[in-house]
Amino acid sequence: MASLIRQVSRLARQNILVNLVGARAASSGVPPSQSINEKTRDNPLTSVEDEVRVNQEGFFSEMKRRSSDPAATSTPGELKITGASDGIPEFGEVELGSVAGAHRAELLEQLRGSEDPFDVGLIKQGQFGAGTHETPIIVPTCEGSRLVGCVCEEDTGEVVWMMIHSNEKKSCDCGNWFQGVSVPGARTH
Amino acid sequence: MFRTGYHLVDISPWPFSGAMSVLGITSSLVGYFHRAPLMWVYVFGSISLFLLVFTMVRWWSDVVVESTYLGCHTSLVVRNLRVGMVLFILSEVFFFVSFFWAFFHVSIGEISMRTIGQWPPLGVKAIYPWKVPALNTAILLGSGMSVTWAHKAVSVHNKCPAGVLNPNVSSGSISPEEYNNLVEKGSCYQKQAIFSMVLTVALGAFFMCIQYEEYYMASFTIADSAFGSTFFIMTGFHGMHVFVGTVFLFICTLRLIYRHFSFNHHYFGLDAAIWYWHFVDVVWIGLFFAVYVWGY
Repeated sequence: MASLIRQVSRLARQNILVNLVGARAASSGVPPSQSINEKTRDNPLTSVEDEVRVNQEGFFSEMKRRSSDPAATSTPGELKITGASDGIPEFGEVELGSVAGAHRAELLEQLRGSEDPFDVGLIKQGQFGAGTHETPIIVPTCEGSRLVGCVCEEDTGEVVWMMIHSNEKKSCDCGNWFQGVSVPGARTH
Repeated sequence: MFRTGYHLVDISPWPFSGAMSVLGITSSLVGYFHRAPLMWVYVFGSISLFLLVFTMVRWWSDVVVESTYLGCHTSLVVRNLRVGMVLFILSEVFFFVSFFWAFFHVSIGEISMRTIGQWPPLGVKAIYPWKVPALNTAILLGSGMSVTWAHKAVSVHNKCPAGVLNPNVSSGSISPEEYNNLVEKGSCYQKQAIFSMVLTVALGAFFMCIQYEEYYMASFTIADSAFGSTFFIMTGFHGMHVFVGTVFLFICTLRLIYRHFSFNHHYFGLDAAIWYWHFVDVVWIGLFFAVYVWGY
């Protein structure tokens, strides 16, 4: 407990506390403050152009939003779950049956159009046009750094491992670019 | 509440009780071999056997509860279960590979060619393959077809409430009139699935009855040279696997009747039972051609 209290001054210096308040605003759809990016904005290689929005669907939706593919950014229609008494849905409704728990959450997320309900984050090279220097693959971190494994081609026998830190853009030798981004409220490196 | 897609199971006594029951069974068997008092062997052995069956029933019903009623089996968990079932069936394949190896070693191995000299050995009257064993082959192949029918019926019914395809909200691929038409016609898949599953279980039970009759009427025993040993070990273990597969399919039939496999509920249990049944079928085909046909 004492060690946590000691962290407060460090967090205040890094404007994390400001971002914690901003994170709450982010989950309701308002973009958070950009104070965390001020010191890295000048460096073109490592700057984050705009703060990454983390909504309930995680980073897959962010990748879709950044990609130039028009089909990927379209939102699905309104989801109407049937309340029919005989269990047979009307035309245009969706029926879930008596699914419960994590399985239900996954089905609902998929019906809403999310491709990655559990934030597995397996992004293939070329998916959403990501992996280039302009649109790198976003690697979210909570600790400030994260281990990334690049499978350079589909049938490669070896995985290239690298440590990526928040606000850092790094490339594998095969030309795949990764960008580390802190989840709002997390530590930076 | 953390949102992981994997299933962290609750604490459960069944692994421990399963281990204890198996310990009891092997201990009583060893005691029987070493002339322990029969009363101890029977009492201890039957208690352990009962505990084993009880553990299996309770453990697997816990799995059914976790999947159907608690919704713990997400797509990530089901993917892992598939891999697990494939590896288990692979281990069973190698179990049978060892017996086939032994069979070919004693039938055409160098030492056997010199000592036994011919196959079947002199004095052993092998079973004529193109009567009853061919019937068994037809039964198992037919049950493989009926179980495939059941699988198709369940997967159609699984994607359709009351057997009707639910159109994607944003695609708008069919009109409301067509949709209502499909609703009226679509409820037959559940009945088809139940019928074909019952047929499969019945064929499996019929296979076991015929094998029992064959065992009773055979002119040789397990003690009759290498022929009898390999024959009864291979067909005996295959029969045990047919029994397990039939019980598995029977439980799946009950779950189907209770609508565990209805809309959006395509649980992996039925897939696992069908894979196991196909494995049993393939082993019988191997047995038929290697032991019955070639060995005649």
